[in-house]
Amino acid sequence: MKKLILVTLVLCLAAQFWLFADGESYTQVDGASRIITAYKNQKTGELPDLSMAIRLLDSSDTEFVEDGKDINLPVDARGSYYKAFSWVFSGNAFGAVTLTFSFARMSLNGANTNNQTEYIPYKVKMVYSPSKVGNSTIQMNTASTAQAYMTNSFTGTTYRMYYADSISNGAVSSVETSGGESPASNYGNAFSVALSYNMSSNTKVQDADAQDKKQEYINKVTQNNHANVCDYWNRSGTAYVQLLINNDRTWSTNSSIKAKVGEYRANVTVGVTVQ
Amino acid sequence: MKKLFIVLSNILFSLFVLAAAEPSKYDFAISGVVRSSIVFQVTIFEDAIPFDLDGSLVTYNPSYASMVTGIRIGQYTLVSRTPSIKLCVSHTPLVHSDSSLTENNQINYRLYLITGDGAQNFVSTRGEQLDILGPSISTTVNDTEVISLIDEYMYVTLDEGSDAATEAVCSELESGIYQSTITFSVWVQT
Repeated sequence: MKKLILVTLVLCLAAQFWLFADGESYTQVDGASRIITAYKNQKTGELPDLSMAIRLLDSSDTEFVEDGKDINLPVDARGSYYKAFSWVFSGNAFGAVTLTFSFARMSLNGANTNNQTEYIPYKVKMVYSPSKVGNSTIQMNTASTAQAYMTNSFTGTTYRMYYADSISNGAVSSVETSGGESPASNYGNAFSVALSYNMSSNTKVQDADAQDKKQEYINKVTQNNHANVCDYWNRSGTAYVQLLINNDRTWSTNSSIKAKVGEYRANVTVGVTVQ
Repeated sequence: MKKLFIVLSNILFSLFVLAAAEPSKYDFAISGVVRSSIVFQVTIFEDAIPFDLDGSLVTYNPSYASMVTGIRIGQYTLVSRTPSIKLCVSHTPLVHSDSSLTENNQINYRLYLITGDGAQNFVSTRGEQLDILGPSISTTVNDTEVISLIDEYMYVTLDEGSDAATEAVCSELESGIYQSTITFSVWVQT
């Protein structure tokens, strides 16, 4: 009887092991390891070069939009705003910089045409997010609540920066804490949206070694130690597009015009200007 | 000896001239897989490293937590004729190359791997081992379930778990070069 129990126990254990092995066992067949490197700037030392970069993310925010890549708008974009792309603008200039989005006419197969049945009107809404310096979100359009940030990448240790950003655009009627929007429409014609960022209008600098600890606007203090650069900032936002056509392809702005069936395309060009 | 040197120099020089004079051409490549059950390759983009830890390219942004962001650091290829495999990925934090430092010498990051088209087709890890099971990334071709991820991008974003923690760690880091090792392993179900 004892032997029978022992044999049964062994058989049960073997069966469990076999069942487990059948579903979960893996054997390594390949592999690799790679080293990536990064650097942290000197806390004191040479000033970094002035640099800026603009990157666009696709509508799903999963990939960067490279030059020449198409962004497809769904039917949902008819009559309501659809997220077309996002921008991430980064750099270290504290002066004014302008981001210009130029939207061409959205025409049949991207051809240059004046035939109203071969292009469709659309409008774009640019919604910007609060700017960031390093990993900190900073205030927009006000110096009174500027984010204190001890710059540690250059200029030595005597300057404390109080960063705040400003954004201006003729089409912006109000500014919200969480961001703002800049609506623009062309109703069939090419148009552009210019977003002017200016950190220098609100950012203040304090010389930590000075007795009065006075804060001065960054564009008013002696710039010998700044050379037009500040800590890296990150300015981002999202562009929404609304196609101004109805489901029967008539213009929502003029129902007597009906767009032809086909693929419509509008080129978007993004430019950066530094003042 | 002098003559030999002159002759050799002339030959070398003419090779350079020939190379320089070669007309420009276009290179195209079509890749395929023959008689191989699994192909796995990883490439790190040399022009992307070293990247600036202070730069906004790798800034952690909580509003982007549900999507891929950061600096594009490389790409990988995984092809298999069977989905009965898994890809394991893990990485160390970025650690200062001066091993004598004991404080403010490392920062963690999030590694993203694109696993296909669409908003949700990516996976990420903050260092812990990530097991990507074959069935979750397989596609059906000619009624056969296969894995075909070719030159899919990888991204890196600083991530200490929260915006504030990342900022705090990053701002206190010692200056210098930081390194991290990313480890991949491919396993077949047996």
